[in-house]
Amino acid sequence: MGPFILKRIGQTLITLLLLTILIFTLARLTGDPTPLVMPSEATDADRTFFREQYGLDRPLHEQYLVFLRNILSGDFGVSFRYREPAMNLVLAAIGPTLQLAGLSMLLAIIIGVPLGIAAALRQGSWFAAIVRGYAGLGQAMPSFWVGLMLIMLLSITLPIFPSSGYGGVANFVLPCVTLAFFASASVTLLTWANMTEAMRSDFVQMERVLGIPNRLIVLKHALRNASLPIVTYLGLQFGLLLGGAVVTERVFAWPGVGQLVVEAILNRDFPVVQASVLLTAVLFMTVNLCVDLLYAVLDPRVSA
Amino acid sequence: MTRVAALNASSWWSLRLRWRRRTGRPRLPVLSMALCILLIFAAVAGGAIAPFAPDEPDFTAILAPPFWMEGGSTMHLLGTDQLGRDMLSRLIGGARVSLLTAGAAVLVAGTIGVALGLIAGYLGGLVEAAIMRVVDAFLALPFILMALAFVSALGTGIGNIILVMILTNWARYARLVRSEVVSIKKRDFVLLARVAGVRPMAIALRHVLPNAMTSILVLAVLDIGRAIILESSLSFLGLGIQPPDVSWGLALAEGRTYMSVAWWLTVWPGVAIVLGVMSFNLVGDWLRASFDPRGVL
Amino acid sequence: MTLATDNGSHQAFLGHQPIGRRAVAGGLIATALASGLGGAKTAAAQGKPPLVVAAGTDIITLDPCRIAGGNDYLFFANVFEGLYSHDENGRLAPAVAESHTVSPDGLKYEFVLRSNARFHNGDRVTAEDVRFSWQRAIAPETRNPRASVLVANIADVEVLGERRCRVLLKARDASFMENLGEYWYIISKRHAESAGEAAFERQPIGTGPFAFVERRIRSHIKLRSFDEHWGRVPQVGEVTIKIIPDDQSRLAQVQTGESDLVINIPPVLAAPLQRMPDLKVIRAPSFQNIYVAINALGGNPILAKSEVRRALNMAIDKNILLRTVMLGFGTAQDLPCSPGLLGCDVSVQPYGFQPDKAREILSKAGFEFNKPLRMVGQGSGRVPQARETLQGVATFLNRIGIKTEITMLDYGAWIAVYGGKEKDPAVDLIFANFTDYNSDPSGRLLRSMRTGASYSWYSNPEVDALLAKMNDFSSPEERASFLHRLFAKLHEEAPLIPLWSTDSIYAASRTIKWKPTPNVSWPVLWNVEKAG
Repeated sequence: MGPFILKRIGQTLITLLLLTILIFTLARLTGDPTPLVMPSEATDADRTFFREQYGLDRPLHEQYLVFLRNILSGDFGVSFRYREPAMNLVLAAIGPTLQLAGLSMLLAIIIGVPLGIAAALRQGSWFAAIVRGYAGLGQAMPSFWVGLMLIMLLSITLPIFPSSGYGGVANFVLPCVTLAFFASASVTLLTWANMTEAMRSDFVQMERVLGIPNRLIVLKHALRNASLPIVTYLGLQFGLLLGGAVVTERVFAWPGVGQLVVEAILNRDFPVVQASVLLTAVLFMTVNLCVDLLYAVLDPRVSA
Repeated sequence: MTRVAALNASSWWSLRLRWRRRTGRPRLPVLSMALCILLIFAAVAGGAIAPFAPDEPDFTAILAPPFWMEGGSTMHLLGTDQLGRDMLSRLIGGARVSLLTAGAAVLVAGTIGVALGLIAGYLGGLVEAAIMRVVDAFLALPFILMALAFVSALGTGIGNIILVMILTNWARYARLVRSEVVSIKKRDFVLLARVAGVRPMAIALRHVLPNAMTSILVLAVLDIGRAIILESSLSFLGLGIQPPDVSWGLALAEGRTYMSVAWWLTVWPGVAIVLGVMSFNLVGDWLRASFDPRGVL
Repeated sequence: MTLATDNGSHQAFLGHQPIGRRAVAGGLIATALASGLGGAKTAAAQGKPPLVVAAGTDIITLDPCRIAGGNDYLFFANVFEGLYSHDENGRLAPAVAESHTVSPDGLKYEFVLRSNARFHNGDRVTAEDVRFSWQRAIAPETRNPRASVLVANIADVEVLGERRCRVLLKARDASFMENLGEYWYIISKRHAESAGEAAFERQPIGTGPFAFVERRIRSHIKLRSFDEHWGRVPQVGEVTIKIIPDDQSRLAQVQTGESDLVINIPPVLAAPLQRMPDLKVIRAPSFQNIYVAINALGGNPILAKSEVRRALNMAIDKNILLRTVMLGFGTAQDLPCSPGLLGCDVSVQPYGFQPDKAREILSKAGFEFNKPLRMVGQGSGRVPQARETLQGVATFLNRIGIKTEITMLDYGAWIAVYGGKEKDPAVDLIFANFTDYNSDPSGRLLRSMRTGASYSWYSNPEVDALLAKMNDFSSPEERASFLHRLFAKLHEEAPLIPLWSTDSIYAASRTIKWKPTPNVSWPVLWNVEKAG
């Protein structure tokens, strides 16, 4: 048990270190930020000063070491564009993103779990076919397309919800539905699969033979057995949602991390790219680590 | 450990596998198979069946509607776009680029990922640790962000888009194959081969790989759908396939600004994407069911 | 190992101003209320209708000495003023100053300030403030990236009295007056000195028709009407500028009534709007010129020949492109400028659309038709229809037998190529645009025609000599005729293929009455009227 946890934490730390190299390299690969940051009127001296100021004139390995040392002391650098500490920008954006992802996840569960259970219980029926079609569409429709359609329908043609922006409760509806459509497809399929497996298990079969009412079997036993992998997967899905929010945030002008990082990549704003991608990745890895540790606690075979 | 690995890797396709395993045979395999074949045919035949060159503007027929609408003509069955290019030809040309990028990316990413996964899973020890930490690092980055950074670094040609998809995809194959290998490695026939003195690499290639192949193949087919969606998302963010090349994602992203003037610019590529992705997903399910009826996978 | 010991350079990595770990909110939201400046006067803005504007790109800075590009004027053109600026018809007009006189040699400008010009904190504008504004703009620690355009040429600002000052120039500069409105904003000495280095990044105080209230990076900017303004008192009260990058989402703002005015509407979206009853499309001509620059630097020797460049001009039917690609939202141009820009009203014989003649000239010049011209375009862009434009140009080149190879780049990569120090010899033609901040052409000409300038793909000592002389005039008439000569020369040399100048397009709700200032690419909002 103990060694396993230590090993996993050690692995995570090594991965993090590799991640910093990857992120640093990715950011630098995008090219020179100077022509984007400096106006065309700027003199060569201004441009040189900009590069020196942010250490961009140094060899890459030196820049990396400074980057690493700075993030270890909690300093993620200053945005080239907004002259604001990069982490401040990211922290201000992570709130809206987490809210959006969290609510969408909730919505996806509310839609996906009942659909999955119902489909598992009516294997082969027309209802199951419709659920399958829903899930298939959820996977196959690009989310920007879904978002634009929703704006077209529910805020322009029928002016019910605000088309974009962040603020009131109503602002959450369209972006959440867009993200949840995508996420609920996977929640549905996962619930469906796990319920089917649970229903086929010897235990449930036995209960059936014993004449326990079907409803009771489903709610008390099958669902409980199916729920652990579902909950686990949801944790991971949350990480995927953070990435999936990139496009949705753009469509709905949501001031989240996804938009921030896309903008930062396009503006070659390295510190912001680094800080936001690193934070997202750390969030994702933390969830991963927790899932593994949780499993180790719940299922002793894992640590063997 | 296997279970943890499988869950860690539970990106989309491994989830789908689990779903399939438990719900039995899919429906509509014939229809989606037919669609896939049609798409592949369109991609291969391309210019031979398209009425026009996909990037040939006609300034006299800008935004012509589909043939059944007022102002439409049978010359352009599905209408024309903002530069007067034939939509049908663009869809056919787009099938080529979309499937080519997706197919090539999946093929190469799969090969690299499978090779590294085999090596990691079979050799174990330090090699495995090194490979898997890199895999973890790649998997911890939201793939769309990684793709964006790569594209803005490398540029937006078809070759670069394929490269980006390879870079963002290979790690998932490596992780899946490694976990497959770890479980197969312990099976009797592999242990026997080892005892019989067969060299490790030979065992990996001759015995372990064929056993893992089914799942790899299924994942690859399912991944084509993902790649098509990724390409369209990149196009939406302005960093996908660029003109004069055509792709469904690009057509959809470019057409969306014309949504209220000319619906056909967005509807046709949208339909193409949804049908394409769905049919590849269904075929993936069906393949799995046929190759692996016992659901061992 | 230099790094571990090199503390000084480590500091430099953090930026020139020490930035501590502020509270998140404090760092991101700049607000004037904190200083107690806004509170008392908000009452005056009450009772006036609020205005909500949706913009696509956030501004970069609130500091008038650190402006990084045209988009920042979304803020500055409404909150700050120079001694002179432009009126609602785009003509030069007194602003903080009420009048001026120039010495015969064109080196001394004397300004009389308005008696009723005030800063947003209530202080009167004095000659001391004018002097201070100059000093701060050129101070090395300010790092004003645009100092070279105007303020660096000022030798001194003499304070002659409370409301009188004299500006001494180092060299004659015929563009001086035109540039006052955009390159030299008047700031308050007392405010800057009391609020310290970050004064303008946190609490910008100017003299414009709107006062700053609050800004949240990437989300919104809030302004309020400044009712003590010397003359341009807005009819609207509070102004909220929302940042909404996606074109369609931004446009939806006015369709749903969430915003009153949406700026930067792409032509494609504007066309169908014109038929909608409760909306209106407001157009204004701009000085933004769209063109295709020809790499005449010798990477491809055939393009160094002026007759070849002229022939390329003849091959393209810009009128058709303007009609189809831009849906008519622009004005075709035969010169690298727009009428209204000083010197651009010269009459030249347009090259016209003469594909046969173009081909004939090219054949004669030894043009290799089977060697493709490599074209670079702006893929995802800030310029509407950039992709379609370049593809359209390529189509016309193809029609006379020229092969083309197009590479579309995202804006960051495109500008690295377009404005790179070394011009890539593998690029033959590049999509480009330039704009001026006022009716003086020197900005665009110096930056995109002069040998070695950041956006120049052309080099000609004769043109360089003309450019060097361009601003050395004190008589406007003499300069105008000189500029005519310059533009005529550029027409003949054809270093680029001028296409058109774009229209600034706005969508507004029916309740809005507004005439945008022509020839600028940003909204000047003080004359917006809102019913109800």
